[in-house]
Amino acid sequence: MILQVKNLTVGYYRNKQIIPAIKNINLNLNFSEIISIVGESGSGKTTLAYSIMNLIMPYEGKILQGEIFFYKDNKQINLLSIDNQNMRKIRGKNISIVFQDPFSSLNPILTVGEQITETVIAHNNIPKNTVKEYVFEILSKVQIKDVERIYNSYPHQLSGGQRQRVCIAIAIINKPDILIADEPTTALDTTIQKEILNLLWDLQNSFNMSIILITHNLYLTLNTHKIYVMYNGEIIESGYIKDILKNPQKEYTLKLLNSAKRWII
Amino acid sequence: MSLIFISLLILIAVFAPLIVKYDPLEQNLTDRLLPPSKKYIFGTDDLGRDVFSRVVYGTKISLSVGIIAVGISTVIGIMLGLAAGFFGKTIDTVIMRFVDICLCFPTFFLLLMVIAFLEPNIYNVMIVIGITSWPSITRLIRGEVLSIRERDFILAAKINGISTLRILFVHILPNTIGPILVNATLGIGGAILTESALSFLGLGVQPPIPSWGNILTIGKDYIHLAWWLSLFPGLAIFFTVLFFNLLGEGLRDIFDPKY
Repeated sequence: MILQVKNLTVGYYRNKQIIPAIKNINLNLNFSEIISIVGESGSGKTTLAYSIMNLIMPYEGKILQGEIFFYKDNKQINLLSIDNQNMRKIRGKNISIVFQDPFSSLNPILTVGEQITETVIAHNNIPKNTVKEYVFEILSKVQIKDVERIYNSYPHQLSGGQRQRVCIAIAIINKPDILIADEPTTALDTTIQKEILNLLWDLQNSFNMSIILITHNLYLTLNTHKIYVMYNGEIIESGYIKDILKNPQKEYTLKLLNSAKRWII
Repeated sequence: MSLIFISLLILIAVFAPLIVKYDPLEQNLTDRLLPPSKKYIFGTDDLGRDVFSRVVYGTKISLSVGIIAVGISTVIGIMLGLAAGFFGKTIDTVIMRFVDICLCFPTFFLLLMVIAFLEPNIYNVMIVIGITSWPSITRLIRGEVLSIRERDFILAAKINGISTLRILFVHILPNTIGPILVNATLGIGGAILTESALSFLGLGVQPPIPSWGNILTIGKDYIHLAWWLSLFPGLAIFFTVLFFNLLGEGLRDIFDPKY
């Protein structure tokens, strides 16, 4: 096991009250396993991802109960009680995220190369000139053809698909143990969606990382090992993908399945 | 257009000794209060000094006071604005309440008071104008930082484990450069006006060093006899401030398409 979420409840402040966004979440992630979290908007998928990264800002909300354990080199680290300095070392190095919207998750005034390089330098002690070669290598790994040109481009000069590839490159450059993909294809059109997903599976194969895929589209989860279906802040159904697709227990899962079928036909 | 005028001004300031025929401090008592002529194109003052030379040398003083004063206030404003906007909570409250206090204090009165305690010379004028005009810049930058720190790419940088200092100065600060530049340009005009006003009152740049403000002071005494003594430095101040404001607005049009 590499990540374990135990009894997690997280709430956000609204009018001085705390309203829980996710309730009693239990989740296990094994080494080099792909799981998907499926649910509609507002079901708490992203809150769960942010909690894992310890990114719930103190002025926004609060972890009400529960623990998140990350296992590394036979050590157990509680991500919720670790201090900021050590959390920063884990973010981007051991766990990283690819966001939904590649148009807003790149800094408009830095070149792609600079943004990738700074992530490498933040975690590794390597000289700048060797970083460049390494960045080129990763850029070609995410199937960017014109590596030299993309490296020197600003984000607005790239297409949506290229930007999402760059975001993925930034996320995987430190060979993380866990990659959280938060609706990585929602902002892209259908043909690019497929390419990006295939890219994620390829990378998972070659880097042996675990992936948490967050999506509202059950169709995209076909290649994953396990599914967690979330509704209204709770996990209402979980299990291996084959079991769930064949024999969904909850009506909500069935509805999701039916809407995803339209994609297949 | 305004950029051309301001570049010209800077050139004049830098090459002042090459442009003028007479030393701005040289007195020539036989040529007192002469009207503009071929020999003295802006006329001469009560001590027979060439007004043209004095206005040209005054450019250097006024521009450097304007630019350095704005530089000082912008640096203070950036530091405090970044801290207030990014860290929020107590730091924000403390800095912004202090800004509020400074903003309700009449600036010019504060200037007069500080200058009265210090020795009135050009360096003190720069520093005092600089440290009295930071509150509005701080407020501006705080507002910018507040909106930028919520953007996804800041969150992404945080997630990638980039240090806070780097996020502040590499990711947030360059994204606020547009408003900062506009504000600074507009501020230079204001600082030049303040310097002229202080010098006019005798609390700024001290004679015999020429500044537009203290040339006007002499002009005031002879305004019924020698109009050229007040007109030319007055025009210099007018056009310089006007073009700095126009440049500022031009920059704003470039950086902020809403206007």
